[in-house]
Amino acid sequence: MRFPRLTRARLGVSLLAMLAGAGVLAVREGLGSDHQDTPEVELSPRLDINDVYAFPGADESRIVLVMTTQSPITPAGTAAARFDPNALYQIRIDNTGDAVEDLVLQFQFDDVSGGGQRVALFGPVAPTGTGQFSRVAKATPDIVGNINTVLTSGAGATLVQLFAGPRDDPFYIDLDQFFRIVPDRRPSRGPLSQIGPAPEASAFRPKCTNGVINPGQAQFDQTHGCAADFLRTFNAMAIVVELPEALVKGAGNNIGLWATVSR
Amino acid sequence: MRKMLAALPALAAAAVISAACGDDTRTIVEVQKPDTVITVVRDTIRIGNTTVTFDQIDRLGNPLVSEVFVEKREHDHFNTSNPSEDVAQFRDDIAGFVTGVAGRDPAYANAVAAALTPDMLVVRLDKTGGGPFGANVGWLTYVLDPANGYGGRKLQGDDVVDKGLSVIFGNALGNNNNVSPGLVTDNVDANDKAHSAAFPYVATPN
Repeated sequence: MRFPRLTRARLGVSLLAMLAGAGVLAVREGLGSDHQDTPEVELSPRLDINDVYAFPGADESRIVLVMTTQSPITPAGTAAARFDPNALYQIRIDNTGDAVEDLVLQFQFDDVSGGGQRVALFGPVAPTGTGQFSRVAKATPDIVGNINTVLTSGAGATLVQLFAGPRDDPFYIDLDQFFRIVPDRRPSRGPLSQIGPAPEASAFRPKCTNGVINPGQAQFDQTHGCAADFLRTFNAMAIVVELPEALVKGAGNNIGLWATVSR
Repeated sequence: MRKMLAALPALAAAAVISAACGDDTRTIVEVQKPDTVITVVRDTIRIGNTTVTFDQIDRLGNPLVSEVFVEKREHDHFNTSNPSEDVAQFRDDIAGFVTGVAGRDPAYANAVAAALTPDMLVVRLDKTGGGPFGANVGWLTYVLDPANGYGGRKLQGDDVVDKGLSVIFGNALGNNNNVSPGLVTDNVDANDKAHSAAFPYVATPN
């Protein structure tokens, strides 16, 4: 990895300013596993996918799929955060091993009066088409209801659970140091864009205890302070679905997952 | 004239046109500023409208793959393409990062690139994960523990940054050639909040 510049002090000041208050625009300057990776999604944060997770649910016959978007959202901006009502959010599933989706879970949102929002889940269902262009695969949602609420359909062996709303961003990384090493990947706006363009470090920052570098950390960068999670205290808009594995499994045992946002 | 325009009721909506399209609406708002008129088109798409075509603008499977391995200028291309195209279009980028930036040997770089393309998060449904935070669950466990790995990615105890770094710069896959000890971990080992063992699992917002 190569990496960038921005003193810790400057970043700290910027972050304080953001946290103190405020501005929705000032908030859009971070990055995670795949946060804000193009100018287009930087400018349309509701369309930005951050991470995808998949793990067993309440028992081994169930699977949980998580897609996080829109990070970093400040605590102050969280109450007003919404999904894009004109976008199609999807988790696509290949269950035949050809890297082409066989099933999709599709999510749409609509604004309701009073500032609320509803989420609709379609699927898992075979997509109308595959690849770059998508349509909603069926007219009637399998689940629909308010965001920030646990919604369900079915029971027992057919139970499907859905949640969409603000959550802690589960991703963690020393992002500012990452960009010092790989400045090419930095966002085009905000404090992190000030790093680089030349690499400013060739190692990560050391682990510290109470601000003092721990012993045995000589291989790490001693000149940019201590390692820190850039995304601590930031939130994301998360979509979480738990469903029976049987609804996503094909003839084989393996599935491949990816998330997309389209508009 | 500039003054007059500026004095108009601020950034007024000069024209609003609504056209019916099913139950969807399209609103065209012309926003006047002193020197320019900006036309903003806002579509409102009804839930369950199966006739609207959506165009993909972001894509993500494995953590860090597009962010780290693919050059920034290629990110738009990556985001609008599909996993079935990854081997042809991006395997070389990944291998090139591992040789060019990390200085690893080409055979190793090709092995890493092969494991990450097509860019899909792989889950092996026949394996017992051991619960939401189970020991067999986690990113690349199906590669690192072929006998038992469930794969997927868990919320807690799955430091994907360190896993990725130790593959790229360390010996996670058993290759000790030209490792970079200062780059195998970012020294951030856990999230700032604990997650829940029950639905919806992800920690409440800050």
